[in-house]
Amino acid sequence: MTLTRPDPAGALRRLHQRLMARRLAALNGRMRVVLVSLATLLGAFTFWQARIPFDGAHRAGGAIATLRLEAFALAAAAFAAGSLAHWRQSALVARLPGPEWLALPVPAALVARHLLTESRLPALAAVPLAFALWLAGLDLMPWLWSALLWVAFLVAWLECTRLGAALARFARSRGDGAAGALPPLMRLLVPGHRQHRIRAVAPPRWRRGSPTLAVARLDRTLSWRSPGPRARLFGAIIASALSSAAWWSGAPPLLARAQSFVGFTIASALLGGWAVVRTCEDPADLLRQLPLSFGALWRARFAQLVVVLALFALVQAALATAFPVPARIGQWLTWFIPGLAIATLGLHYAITLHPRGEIAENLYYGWLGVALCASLMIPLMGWAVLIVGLVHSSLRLSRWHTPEAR
Amino acid sequence: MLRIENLQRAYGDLTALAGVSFEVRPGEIVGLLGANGAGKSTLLRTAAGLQPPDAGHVFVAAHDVWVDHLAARAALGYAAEEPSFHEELSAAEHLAFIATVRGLDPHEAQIRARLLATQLDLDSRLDDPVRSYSHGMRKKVSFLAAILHRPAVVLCDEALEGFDAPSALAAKDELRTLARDGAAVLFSSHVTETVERLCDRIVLLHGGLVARTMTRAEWGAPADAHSPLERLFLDLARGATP
Repeated sequence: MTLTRPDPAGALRRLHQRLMARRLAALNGRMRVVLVSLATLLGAFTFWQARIPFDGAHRAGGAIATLRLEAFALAAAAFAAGSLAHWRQSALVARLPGPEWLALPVPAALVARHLLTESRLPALAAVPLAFALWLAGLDLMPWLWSALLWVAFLVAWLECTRLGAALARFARSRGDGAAGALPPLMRLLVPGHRQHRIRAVAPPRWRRGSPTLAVARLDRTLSWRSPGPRARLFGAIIASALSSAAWWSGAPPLLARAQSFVGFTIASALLGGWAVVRTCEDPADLLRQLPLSFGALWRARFAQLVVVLALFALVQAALATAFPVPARIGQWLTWFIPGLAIATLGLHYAITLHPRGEIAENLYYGWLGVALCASLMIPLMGWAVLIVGLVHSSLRLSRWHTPEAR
Repeated sequence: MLRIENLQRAYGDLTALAGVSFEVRPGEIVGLLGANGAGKSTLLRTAAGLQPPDAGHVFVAAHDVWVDHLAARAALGYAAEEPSFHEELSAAEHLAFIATVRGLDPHEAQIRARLLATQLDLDSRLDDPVRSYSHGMRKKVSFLAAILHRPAVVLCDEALEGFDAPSALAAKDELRTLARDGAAVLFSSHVTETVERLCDRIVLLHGGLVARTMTRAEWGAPADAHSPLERLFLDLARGATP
């Protein structure tokens, strides 16, 4: 075999280009329109939200005050981008194809650069928002300041994402034993380093029960053991606890109820996130070979959402002692139903997009984001958006029976 | 018992199955042979209800897999080539979940699971999370889950690949027992020697079609169900002097 001069940097660059092309090709036309529309809507919303305080700052302190405020907002956007890169890098290094990389004569620095490039993709979401912020202050300061501010943001975006990714790699590469002597990136790639101490679990109880009950028991076990659902479930519990704390904040009853409702809504959204993650973690090949109907799966998860949300809403109704009993019963109903609608939206997207959890979660939170923006623009409009989302996701449920049509 | 009728499946321009038809009768072990990309896994995954065909039907115990989903799957056991699990569950928890979904008697299912796990040398690790298992152990759990309910139809996609020799022997014996009890077994493998000694008939796939079917007599299968090396293992296991 004739050997030529190796070009690992070029090979990785071409790999990245091909990956990008494949990902773009995987988005169908409708999805591209949806993504562009979402970015435009969120950008327009950000512009509208930022324009008022920027203008206020300009009237109060002139261009320098606007510059300070806009710089702060752009720094926050860069920080958010760094956080996204950190999150993505953490996910990537958790399932790194170590032996495959180790078997190649590729310098560790190039692997690190490749990982960084991959981690920067989700951080691009901060750019349209930052651009909207920048546009909002464009005519409130000299052009040169604006131009310099945008350049500073781009530099901050690059550095924050680099730092976020580096911190994720550092956190994961703390080695022990023989692996501890290796360079940081090598420690990430050595598969033995990722072996956790395995503890046997208690033998299960072999029990009779319907498939629905079996799925509910499975959810209970995996919601404590698997980090994804556990984080969302704890998040929902914490949000519900904060919602309860609002009643003791000393605020007037109507304001306390509004604060508590915000916490309850967040708890409902996180519970929907739990439904997405728990459902999409089920291996498709395993579930589909079993005599397990779509109805059994749906019932098991919907029933759990009903029970938990009914309980959350009941606690809030019990704490609303400033209101008469009929008003508290009304509160229970008017909170429980929208909360259930939010969480059910997550469940439906999870079932129809199973096992593609990342896409289901993006769609779910994206829809909630649009509903929130709509509510801020026109009061109660968000609920209309939510109902449309719920109808849309419910119409997709029949796709469960044709897995490749999803 | 397992009837495949004019099964067709294409991936874009690539035709994986171009009208495959054959059947596996009760009590029969049929080997599915073919080169890489001949469509063996596509056929088995379609028969197991994991991916829909473009045309054709798969009948399991007289139920169409893509029409009468639940009844067909209740009669089916599928050991996957690349099995997937809830990684945080132990094998015992996984089997207990499957037993409940399949409506098995809990006590009987537990006893059978323990027995099969002992035969496959998996009993000491049954309570460890699946994520700690080697490739071979994962294949054993998948095989065990596929036959736990004594299905009427067993589909094995490279099911014994990765098994150690004594476990492979035990698994083959279990498949023979199931067949003797009336199960129809479709066994796909690249290891011709396993197919040669285990199966009653073979179906050879080529170019997305059944190129040939042969019985044991036609290919001149050895009378002994075990190879000389397998015999050695068996003798050792039984405590005989090799």
